[in-house]
Amino acid sequence: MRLLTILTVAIASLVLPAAPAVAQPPLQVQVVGEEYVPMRIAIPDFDAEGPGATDVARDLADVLRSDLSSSTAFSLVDKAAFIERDLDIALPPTFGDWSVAGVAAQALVVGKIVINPGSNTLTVQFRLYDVYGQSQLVASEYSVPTPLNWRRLAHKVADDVYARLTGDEGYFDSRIAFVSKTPGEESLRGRLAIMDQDGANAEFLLSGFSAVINPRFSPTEQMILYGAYVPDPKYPQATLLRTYLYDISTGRQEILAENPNSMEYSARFSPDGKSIAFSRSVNGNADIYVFDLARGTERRLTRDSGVDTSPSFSPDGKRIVFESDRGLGPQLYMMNENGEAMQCPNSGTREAACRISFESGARFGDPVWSPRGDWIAFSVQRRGQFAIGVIQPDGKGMRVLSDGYQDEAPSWSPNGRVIVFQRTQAKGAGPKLFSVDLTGRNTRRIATPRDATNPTWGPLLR
Amino acid sequence: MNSGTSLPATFFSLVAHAGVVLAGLITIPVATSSEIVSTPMVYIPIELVTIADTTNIAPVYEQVEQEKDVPVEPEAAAAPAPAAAAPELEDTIALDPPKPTPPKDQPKPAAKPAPPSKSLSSELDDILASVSKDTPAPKRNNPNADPASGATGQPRIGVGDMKRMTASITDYIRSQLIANRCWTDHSDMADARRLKATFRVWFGRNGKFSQPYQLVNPGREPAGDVPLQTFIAHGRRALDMCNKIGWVVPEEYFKLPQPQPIDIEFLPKIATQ
Repeated sequence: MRLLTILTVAIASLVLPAAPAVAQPPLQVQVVGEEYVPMRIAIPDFDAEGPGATDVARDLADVLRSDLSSSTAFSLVDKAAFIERDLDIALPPTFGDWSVAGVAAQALVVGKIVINPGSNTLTVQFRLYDVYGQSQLVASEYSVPTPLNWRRLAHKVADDVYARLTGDEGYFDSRIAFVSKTPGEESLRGRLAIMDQDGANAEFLLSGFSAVINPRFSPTEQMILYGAYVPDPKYPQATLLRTYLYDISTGRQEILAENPNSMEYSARFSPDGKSIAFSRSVNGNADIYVFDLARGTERRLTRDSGVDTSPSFSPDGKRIVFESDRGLGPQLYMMNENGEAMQCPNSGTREAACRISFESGARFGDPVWSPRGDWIAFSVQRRGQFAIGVIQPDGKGMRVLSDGYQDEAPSWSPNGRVIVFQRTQAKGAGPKLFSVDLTGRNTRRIATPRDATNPTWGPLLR
Repeated sequence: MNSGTSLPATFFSLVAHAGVVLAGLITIPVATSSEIVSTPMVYIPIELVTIADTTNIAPVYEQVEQEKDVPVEPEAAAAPAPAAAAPELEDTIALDPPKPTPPKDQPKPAAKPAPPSKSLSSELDDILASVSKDTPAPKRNNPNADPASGATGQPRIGVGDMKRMTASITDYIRSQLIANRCWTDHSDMADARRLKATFRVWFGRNGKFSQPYQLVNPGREPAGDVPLQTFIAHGRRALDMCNKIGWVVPEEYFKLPQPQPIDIEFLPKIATQ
């Protein structure tokens, strides 16, 4: 018994001092990000295999760098700082060489281009690494039947990298349609044109026989709605405003609206692409309607004496934001798509439509709901200038993103991160296209062959 | 009455507990011997994605009826840049980013984020200098200094001392994550107000994590919640970056019973506004 007691005490003396160390309550540290800093990404030149692959590898890596550095999310590590060179995609990189001070890359893309000499197929293989985590995040491969399409491959890789590192869908493999204007031409004259989102591959879709206004891309397909002033067959000196639906993949188009007693305009697709909202003006009073493309039926949504125009659907299709001068000057309003009254976020009352913009003396227009749903972009005229801004659907958080001499016609990238718009930089200057990040950073010019207005950003290509 | 029966029971209980604890003492150092947090390199098989031919060729625009509109004129087709030409990159206008404001309801960081040109050692010197002004210099462990020291030889710490010490430690850690730009703002992420992630870390005297950090909130990877997954990945990257740089851990930390966990909660700025 005595031995038992001694053993018990001895073991207890060994165990008890160690026990509290296991159960220490953690200290608490809360860290709030103070400063926005783009992620540093290193993209060495891609390896090449096959005839002509070296040039393609260089060009493709250049476009990939251009895509990612054009977004606010990334900053490129200078190639001159690289320590490890001639990376082999089959081998893991030396992570220490990429995280060392002076390089400090947080992400690394290693790639290879292969051109098959027999089939002429172009293939890009790439791996995305988390440098500090020393782990591989993405490994993928794309191929196209001809090396001429290398630019699309670069955009596909950029989208994959962007999506994996930001959590948002990419937007690089997409196109922007716009109205191309020739300086000195009649102000209404405009030709429908299209280009890659970075300004490459710009080309006209229409000849310019008619004056195109307000093109709107479908959010789901390569189709565009646009309005066009065409000569009136009955009165050759007059013009009619028609609304067209243009299928880019086939080049075919159809007239959706042409009415001698009214004028239809500002048409925009619903999120599923199956219906459109538009304005119809009769005797100077414009109201908003929804047209079902499959059934060919329409519903009237507003019955106000003011001018209601520029409707835009919420991403779930249940609400519509629009511009109306029913109050004092043009402001932004919201309503239910089914026509039922809604609870207004500001007044708390139930109304057919709720006002969501309130800045006195400012004239709001061109509202466009973000595909992400969290913001509505608009143009606003105040203090003698036109600016692009965003506001939350409940009317809160309004902020101006770009404040030029005349900034108008915003359109969202497919992921809701970037806005393209038209800017006239001074009185008498021609309009150009610019893009700005949702945060208001990174305003960039998108090069177009001629002056350009009314940009509309299309969905990701499939 | 019970002394004869309770002692063996206590003995066996102690033996059993001792066995568990001793097993832990033997295995935990082995399991946590790695100084860095590393993820085993797992190569994902290449996923072959062939883009359909029809989506990779330039659109061909057919003739449309004259009364509607006519297709591209020859001169128009020649005007755009060739497909392989790089787009003309024009001027980039950098707007002033919003100035960072210190979050409310938080202890003031020991040092402001330094400008990019400032060296890392300089930033850390600033942190050390700033903290040393606010808190008395910690005394080194000395078993002989205080006769009331416990078995670990550490001086006895009062409640007030403990609060000052822990505040100093947490300020150190927060300041390094900010000043070294390991943790930056992610308010621009979708639905950012709801995003937060907490990791539990332990520090060694060599300025590195003494064992792998753990994600404690959320308790597991949120499947299907891409924004939160990405936010957690940002948190991991922040810890990895600062661990690579090396932590400056105040001596007070090692006066606490070890191993002392620290829970680091990452938040976007918008969540505190």
